[in-house]
Amino acid sequence: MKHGLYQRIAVYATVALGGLTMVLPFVWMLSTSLKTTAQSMAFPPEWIPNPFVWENYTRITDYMPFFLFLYNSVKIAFFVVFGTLLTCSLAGYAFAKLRFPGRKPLFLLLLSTMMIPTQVTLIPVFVIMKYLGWINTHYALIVPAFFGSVFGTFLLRQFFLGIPNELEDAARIDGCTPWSIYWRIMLPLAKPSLATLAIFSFMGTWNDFMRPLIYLSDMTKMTLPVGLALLANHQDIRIPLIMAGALLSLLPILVLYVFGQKYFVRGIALTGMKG
Amino acid sequence: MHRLLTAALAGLLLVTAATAQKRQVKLMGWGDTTTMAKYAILEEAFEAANPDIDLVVEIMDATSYARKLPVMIASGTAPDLFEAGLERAASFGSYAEKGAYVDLMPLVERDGVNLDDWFPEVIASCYYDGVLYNLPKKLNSPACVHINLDLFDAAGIPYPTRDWTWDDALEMARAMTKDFDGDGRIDQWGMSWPLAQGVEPAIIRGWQWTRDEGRQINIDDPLFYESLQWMADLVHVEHVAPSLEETEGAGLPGYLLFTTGKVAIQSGGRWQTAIYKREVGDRFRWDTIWMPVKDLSEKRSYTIGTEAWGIYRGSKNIEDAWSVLKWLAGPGGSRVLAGMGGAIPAVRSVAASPDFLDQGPPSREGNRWWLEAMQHAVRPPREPHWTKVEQLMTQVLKLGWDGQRPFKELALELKPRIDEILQEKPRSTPQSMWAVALGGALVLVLVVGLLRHYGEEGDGRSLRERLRNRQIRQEALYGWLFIAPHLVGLFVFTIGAILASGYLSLTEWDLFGRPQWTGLGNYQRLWDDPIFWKTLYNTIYYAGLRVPLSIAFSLAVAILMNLKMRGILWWRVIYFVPAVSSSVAIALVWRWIYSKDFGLLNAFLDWFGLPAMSWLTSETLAMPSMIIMSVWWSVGTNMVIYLAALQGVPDQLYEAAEIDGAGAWHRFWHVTFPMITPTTFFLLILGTIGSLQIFDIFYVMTQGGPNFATTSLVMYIFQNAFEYLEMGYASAVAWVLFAIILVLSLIQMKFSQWVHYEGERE
Repeated sequence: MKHGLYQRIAVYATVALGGLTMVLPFVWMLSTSLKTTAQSMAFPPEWIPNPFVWENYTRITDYMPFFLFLYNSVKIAFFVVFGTLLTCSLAGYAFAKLRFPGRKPLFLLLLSTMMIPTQVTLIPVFVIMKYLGWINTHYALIVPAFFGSVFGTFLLRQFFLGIPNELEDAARIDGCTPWSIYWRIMLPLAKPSLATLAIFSFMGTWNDFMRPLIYLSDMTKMTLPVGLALLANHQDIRIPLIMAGALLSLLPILVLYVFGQKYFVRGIALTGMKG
Repeated sequence: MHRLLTAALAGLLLVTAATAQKRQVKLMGWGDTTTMAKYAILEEAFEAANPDIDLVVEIMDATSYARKLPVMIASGTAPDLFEAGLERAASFGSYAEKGAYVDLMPLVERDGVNLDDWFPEVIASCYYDGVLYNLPKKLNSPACVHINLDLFDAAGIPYPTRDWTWDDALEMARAMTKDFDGDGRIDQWGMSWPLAQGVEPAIIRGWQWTRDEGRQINIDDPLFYESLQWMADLVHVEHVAPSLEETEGAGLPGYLLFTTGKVAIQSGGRWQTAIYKREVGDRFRWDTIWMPVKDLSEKRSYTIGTEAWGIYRGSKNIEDAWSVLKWLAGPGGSRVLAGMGGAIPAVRSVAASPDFLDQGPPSREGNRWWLEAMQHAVRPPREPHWTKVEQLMTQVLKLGWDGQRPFKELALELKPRIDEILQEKPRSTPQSMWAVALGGALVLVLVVGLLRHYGEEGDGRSLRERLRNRQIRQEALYGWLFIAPHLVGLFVFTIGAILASGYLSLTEWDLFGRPQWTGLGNYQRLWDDPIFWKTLYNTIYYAGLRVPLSIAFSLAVAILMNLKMRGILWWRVIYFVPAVSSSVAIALVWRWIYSKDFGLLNAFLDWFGLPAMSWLTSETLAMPSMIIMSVWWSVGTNMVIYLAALQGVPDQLYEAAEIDGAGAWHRFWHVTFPMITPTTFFLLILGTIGSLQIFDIFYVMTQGGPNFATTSLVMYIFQNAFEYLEMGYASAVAWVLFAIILVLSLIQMKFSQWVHYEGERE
């Protein structure tokens, strides 16, 4: 398909305008985060901070334990990703390649639970956590991941199905148990799929708001989104500080995104859902 | 290197040992960053006197605090010491009711603490059902007005006295509202009345909250709506006060215009004097007086709130918590607090001392008035359902403050709804477990049947025959082992939880004691609950507009992105950035963009000469604003999926169409569009399911307001479960959501293949 010059310019302009709309809020966030309180409330708004108040970024820690929130977020996300990968890869491999009674109906049952929105199980799971004494602990957020995610199992099962059976048969003749096949052959092969699932569950956990909001009440245990929302609720907090905090909370995931784009894109393309 | 490690380890051990010596007491309260600063000083002063106790203080905003604490008490994780508002039913009363406190009397008697140290009426409200549960922190009142004395001087107007009327106030405000540069925007306001003042202008004129022994709310009393109307008219009719949006929009503190010297008369709570001390400094002189009344002959009354601390019954360290409480509530702590302003001490000797009176501003005279006001204190009612009443009032009256509707109309409309809540009797029917057992058994039969039915299929040999073979047995064993963790998750966290949720939806339960069986009572209540219907409507409205719009935009973007152009890959990265960002960060920046007076969006409108819009505070505009933001947020996600679909359309089809002489539009409509229909369908259904579960951005941006215009179903579930602790009702709402999503999922399943079998081992 050929395009005339004007057409190309028009297309490029549209793309650029749309792209600008996409980044403008982030630029606005950055600009506001460097302003004085007074300048942040100038009308019409000014884009260039004058003076640049870099202290806004250091002053956040006066109002909230930012690095503690960051540590909590990283810690929870790490264990959740680890648990999800472990359980889902085991189950995904078993459902794809191992023969055992009840495999098909159980898998169907598992798949059908995908239709259950998390909000319906929210209250009973909260009650379970209450009886376990895990309210206001990170266990409430981490442990469920070790019991698998339907999406993750489904994703990895689909991947394992694509691996030819001959590979496994050969290993079996060599006397490998299903465990060593899983560990030595299947997992290394599944690296790209595991990376996709890892990124996907990392993103879900990092940005999760509702569950930490419900479970965590100690300031010292909160994750970034909840801590940030709490900070923003304070009546006498300044807008530039909130924007600085919001931007800082975005940084880790943005950096990860820039380096691991293709996994992000694949993860999203596979589910088509977020939020 | 090795030595370094050993040293580090030893150091760590030492530190651990050192901290282990200090016994920790945790205290929780509400407030803002000024409160945090105050507590930091209290902590220091306390720890100086008690070096072996480590006092840890956590401060949340009042709303989050009121939401968190009941759940913490219910789940046994409350801190050793926590703050309560003694007059508020939802606070002190309900905590005491739930057995959250330690009885203080034995400790008081053992240590010879003299209860006469505090004002007797204050100590009296520390009792619940005859048991002493709290000791007072301080007194507070929202019936305050702060005045900028310098602005009065500049305008040549004498300062108001305690006897001032609405007419006086209005006249002063008119004289001090100024547009210095003549650009049509007011630069200095005569007055400012933040929302927190709420019903105070009515209370000061003697208005009572309820009548008929608490069974009826009194808001149909003209005293109520007239007073509120007067306040709102200052903004919308007299134009001597800034709108709420200008003062509190986008989460700004309501007093910011005052501390920057742009408001002459600022109403506000007594607690704000502490903030003003910190923020104003020497920039101007100010004082604190009372609110004006309509007519000097009217009877006056004031809301006086008492904040107090109690010891959590589940505390593992009651003895140390008591040491902390004794000091904080006693003269020691009270004096430190008084010195920082804000608080009216509850300790008599401190209230009469220069530590309180001469810490001005406010002036000594002003402070004396406060002690006098205690004689005319009124207390808000302690109805069991007061949280709900307050929330309803806040949501609906917001429309009055914004000048969208007159208060009289709103009040008359609200009255029957509130009366219904006030007169609601707790239903109690005997608990019957049989129905649950029956339901559980039914599901079990279903699951077993399903297993048997499918288990027989696809394999000629019988189970027993297969298990005879060792290798097959080993494989089966590993299979079960490998899926075991996920199965536990499936049966406990999903299937078990959904059954439990179904059961809970047939009960009433506040996390304490046992659920009370109510049969279909919750569903009946749902049917009659206008707020439920509104949230359902909101959710469908949101999903119904967001999803198609987002799909249309992202298809357009995907088509552009699919063109072969230089740098297109980078544009893709950019379009996708919002999709990876956290909802909270995004909601915070958009809240600021939507701000009526400082926001980017209104600046654009202004640039084109268009009037400013109330993006988030107008009842009709709030939801469209949410939708616009959500479309922006989700375009990247959908674009990626469309791109994959577009790249799957074979080039031959386009070539064939081109040979047939089809134009670009024709090619899109007859080749591209049909080829990507499955993707569109997929996005439509999944997008709708996702949108129906929306929570985060509404919660952060609007808290569901105004007048529930942006309360989604999931927010309503959250509110009922974790604010009102109505687990049963919340579960019933959750089941409605479940039913809707189930139907959508079934439609989706019918039209697409999720389960692939190719390559599976048989």
